[in-house]
Amino acid sequence: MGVSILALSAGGLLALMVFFNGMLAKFIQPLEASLIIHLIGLATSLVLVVLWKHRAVINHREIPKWAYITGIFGGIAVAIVGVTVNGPIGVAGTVGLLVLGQVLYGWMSDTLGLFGTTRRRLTVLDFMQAALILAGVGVLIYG
Amino acid sequence: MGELAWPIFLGLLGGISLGINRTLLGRLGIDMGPARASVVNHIGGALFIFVVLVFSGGRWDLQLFAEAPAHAYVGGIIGALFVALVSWIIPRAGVMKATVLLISGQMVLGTLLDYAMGRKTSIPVALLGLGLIFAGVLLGEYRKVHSPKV
Repeated sequence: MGVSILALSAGGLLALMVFFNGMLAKFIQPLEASLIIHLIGLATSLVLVVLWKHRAVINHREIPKWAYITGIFGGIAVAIVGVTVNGPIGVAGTVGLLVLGQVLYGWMSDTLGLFGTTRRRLTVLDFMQAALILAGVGVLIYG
Repeated sequence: MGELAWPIFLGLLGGISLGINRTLLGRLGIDMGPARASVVNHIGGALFIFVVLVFSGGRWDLQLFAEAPAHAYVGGIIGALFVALVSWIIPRAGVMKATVLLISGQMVLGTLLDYAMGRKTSIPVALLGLGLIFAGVLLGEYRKVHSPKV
């Protein structure tokens, strides 16, 4: 129960993040805002590293090189959110499209086996899922 | 449709970027822990955007930086906390429950924030949209749990 409430609140935190990042992007430009947001996030992460002791010893040879470019995609996402939140689709439309985009990425990842994931054939359920989310986002944006 | 096509395309692109970001971040987190993976993530993001800004001629108007209210800068802190929080929640709640609850929390608060900003007018329409998205998310998670191949 406690974990569920925490998960629900964490989801709310993400919406708040989108909201604040959008606000910053409105004052300064979306790219500049993404850079500032990442620098503040970096400082916060460094504090977390100190507070949150991780037992594992890092073996850099076992980590695939491509995993290190993760931040590029985070940077792109933050800059994009700065544009869309301030447009006609708002916070809810942006968050909904982010969910749908992740579903589409899931399809690509499953059918192509991206980044070492297991390949899986798409089923009718996959298309039903996307159709439902698409309809929901459409209602939020156009409704 | 015309004026919405561009933000919709961008939003989808943002979601695909987030999907890739989460996959790679998760891969890093396995070996170095979520907090250190978050550091790598933020360094990479900052460097990449910095390079893009240098080549695209960013304006760097310090006047504008000062004009933004202090709470507009809170997003960076929330993002890093969110990453850490999620990696704590997922092993305890399970991926299915965590995904459904996280997306529910996002959509509900996102809709409330739009209301607060005066962007949405009809509560039933918002509820219908949220309901459809939840149904889709639930269906996807049901499929994953009952999928024969893991």
